[in-house]
Amino acid sequence: MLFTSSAFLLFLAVLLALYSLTPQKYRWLVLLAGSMAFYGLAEPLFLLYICSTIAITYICTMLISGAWLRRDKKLLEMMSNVGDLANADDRSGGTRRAGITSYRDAPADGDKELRRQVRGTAKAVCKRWMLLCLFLILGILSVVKYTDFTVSNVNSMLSFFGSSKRFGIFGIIVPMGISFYTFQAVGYVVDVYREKAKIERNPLKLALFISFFPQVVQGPISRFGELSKTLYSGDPLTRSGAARGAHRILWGFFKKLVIADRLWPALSFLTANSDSYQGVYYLFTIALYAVVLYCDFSGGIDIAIGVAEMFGVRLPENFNRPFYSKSIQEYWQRWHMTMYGWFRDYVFYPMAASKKMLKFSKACRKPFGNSFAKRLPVHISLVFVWFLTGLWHGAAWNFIVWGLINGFVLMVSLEFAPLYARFNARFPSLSKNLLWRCFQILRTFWLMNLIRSFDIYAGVSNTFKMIGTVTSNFSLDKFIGEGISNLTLPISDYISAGAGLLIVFFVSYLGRGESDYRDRLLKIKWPLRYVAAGLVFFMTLIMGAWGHGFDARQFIYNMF
Amino acid sequence: MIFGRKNLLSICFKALAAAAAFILVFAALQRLVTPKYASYAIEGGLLREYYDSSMDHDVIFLGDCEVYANFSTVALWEEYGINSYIRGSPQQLIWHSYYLLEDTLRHAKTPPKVVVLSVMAMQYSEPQHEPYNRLALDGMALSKTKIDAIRSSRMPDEDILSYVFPLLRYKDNWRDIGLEDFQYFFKDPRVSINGFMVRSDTMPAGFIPAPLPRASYDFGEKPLEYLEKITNLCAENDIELVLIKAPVLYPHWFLQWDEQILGFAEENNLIYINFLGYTDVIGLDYSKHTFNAGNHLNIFGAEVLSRYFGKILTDELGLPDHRQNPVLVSIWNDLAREYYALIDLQLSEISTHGEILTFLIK
Repeated sequence: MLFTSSAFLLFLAVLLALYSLTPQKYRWLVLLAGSMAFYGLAEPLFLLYICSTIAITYICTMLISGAWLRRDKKLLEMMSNVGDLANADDRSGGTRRAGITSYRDAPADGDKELRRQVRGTAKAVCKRWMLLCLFLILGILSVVKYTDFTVSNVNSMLSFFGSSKRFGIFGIIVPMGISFYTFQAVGYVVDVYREKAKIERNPLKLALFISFFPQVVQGPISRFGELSKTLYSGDPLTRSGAARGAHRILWGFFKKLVIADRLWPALSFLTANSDSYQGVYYLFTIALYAVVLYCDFSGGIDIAIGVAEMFGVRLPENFNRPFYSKSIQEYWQRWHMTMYGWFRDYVFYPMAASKKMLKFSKACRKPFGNSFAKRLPVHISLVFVWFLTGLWHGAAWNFIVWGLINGFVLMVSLEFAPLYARFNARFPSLSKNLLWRCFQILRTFWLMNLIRSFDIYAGVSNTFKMIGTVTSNFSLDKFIGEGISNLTLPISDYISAGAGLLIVFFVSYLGRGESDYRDRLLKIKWPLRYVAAGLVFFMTLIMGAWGHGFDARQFIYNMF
Repeated sequence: MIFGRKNLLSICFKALAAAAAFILVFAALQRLVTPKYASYAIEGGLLREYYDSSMDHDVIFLGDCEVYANFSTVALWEEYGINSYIRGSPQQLIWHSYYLLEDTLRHAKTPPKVVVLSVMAMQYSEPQHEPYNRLALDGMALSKTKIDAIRSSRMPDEDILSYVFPLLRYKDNWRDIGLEDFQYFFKDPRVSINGFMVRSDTMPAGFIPAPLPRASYDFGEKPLEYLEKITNLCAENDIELVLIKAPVLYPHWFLQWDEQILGFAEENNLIYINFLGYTDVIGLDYSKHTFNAGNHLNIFGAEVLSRYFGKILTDELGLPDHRQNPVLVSIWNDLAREYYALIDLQLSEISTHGEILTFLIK
């Protein structure tokens, strides 16, 4: 069910009505039923995948939690002045009696070695369950998403070595949003293992966390600790909540329909006819893709956040004005923030700070020098994280190359960091200079566009070829002669999308320094506020690419 | 509680103001983007004009271009005092005609005495094109009948809401908004004289393409069902139903179809006239009486045909001559004046420019 379809709006209205009519205590069950219905309506078979992930996650986290609990009890038993153990619960949840609340509060007069042993055993058990869980749920993701990719690569290898043997492609249909809900589940399992998240003992509540319908399609990737604060509370529908949610949904519709979907046919035409549209058209294509991708993805996230807000649930933000970034590091802290944060917390840090990596760094001191050896774990982890990020985006080499280039550029910029620092120290006033800031923003924008080329064109070699046309076949005459009017879209469509984009940038500018542009909107007088909302609504209604003559287009990130 | 009592009045005021502004803007935008049918596809304006007519009619024509291009309502009036109206639109399907009849009976104070139905559309069992559905249904006033008509006619990608709010269908016309959208913002242009579309140009009939053989010549269930419904509705309202096939040379009217209609007419005691069998008697000359090579009659052909048909309506169905009714005389005089003015203008345009430039009633 597409977010921008009338079926979804009807679904939302029915669910809101049911939610309001249900007693607060049971409202989360309405959300769960709605989430399952939403997912099952896409394809009933998909439910099997998500329910498997939920079941595996639940069983494993309960086992992890059980192991931690047994450790706590054992340690408490070892304390000489332990009181009533009956009150002991898991470390992060449950009510405890005043006084000693965990073994850590107890006097450290037990046998230290024994305690270490108890901790070590429990950790090993928990790690085993965590790894088993990760193996299973990531296994499901890998099988459905990467089997055909692996098979086609094996076939290519066989062909390369002159073998006539070929393996058949399975043609597995990738369940909607599997990358997103799997990552969310992985985050939860790791957090429970790290004792950072409270264990959820109710399997249905865990099911809701993993399958919550606004975010299951394309994120944002939430953390259990944050989402659970509002997900189960069943807060009543409030006027401001409904208004804010509706506004955010409208804003998402605007970005998706007025800009992304309106410009999509031109982008599609340019990439399908890349042989005829090179050089300057390539530059136009990558800039167009940046706009389309941003409005499509952030529009979908706006709708997800707005829908959740209507139910009183707070989802994390996923974008923070990324096109105002002055460096690639900053860009990745502003674009798809929840994914970036996920990889940082669950892959990068654990890897860069692992004992093996530190050992490796130590071993490298002699050949590479102290300073570089220290940075080596960071670089290796960075490249590995971006390799995974590319793979997560799609089972294709172009995504992997895209990820690796991102990693490489970040690595280079880290290496050059001291040089930048010296430069900034030499010219301290530059950072306040508007022209310099604009240059930095444009540099980052075009650098990201260049890297994103691998996401646009079919095949890595084709992408390199297209990049090469900037010098070999710039086609400026063709661009001046034909312009953009023959790219399947009438000029009026560019004008409407351009006007939409100006509004997006204006709103983005309004939201500077504030967590949410709506807070700033709320400060202006109500007639003006209503006019602003009306303008966005009627522009979406009239200029949006929907209805007769348009095929409802799925969100780009649904494919991931 | 969602609304605090203290602010209830202010909230109500804001909500009302916002709702009123919303409705106003929505209506204005809808009006702006909805086709006016002033400079292209002017047939799209045919059906909506019916509601502006200030009189009831003795004869109602129903059908596609076989009626709106071939029968001159002014000729019927001037020759026989027959007060008629044509409720026809391009490729109007049998079920469209049924609902238009239902709509006519709902709208008219006294039901018509005769309904003339073109049977050409009996060949279609399913709606053919969304734009034709629109031409037939957009002109109908909103009522339960219209909703039923939409339900029976819509194609897979059509929805009822876009008929109720045409903005949802025509929103992309914002790209082509022109002067005429503002010119006709408050009042639609007039395109017909009581449903008759005036064409004064001539293109003689020449080569008539041979008909393509069909897999089956049997009429479908749906058109037969609606033909029966029309027959029953006419019987219930004491209306004489006349089935006709207009004397145009193509699209081809197959003998097998003719026999089925003949059979139906006999079975239901209806009059069926296939004018193609009487072209000589009528006096039609396809070198002078058609504006597109035999597909439609022009004004001269339509007048000839109307004079012939008017006699049947008067002699055999006993329709009264209203030429002594001062109210109707006044209305028809105005219509006739507009009719002849348009013919004169079109003829002068043909002699000056070689083609018609004006199709709208001034």
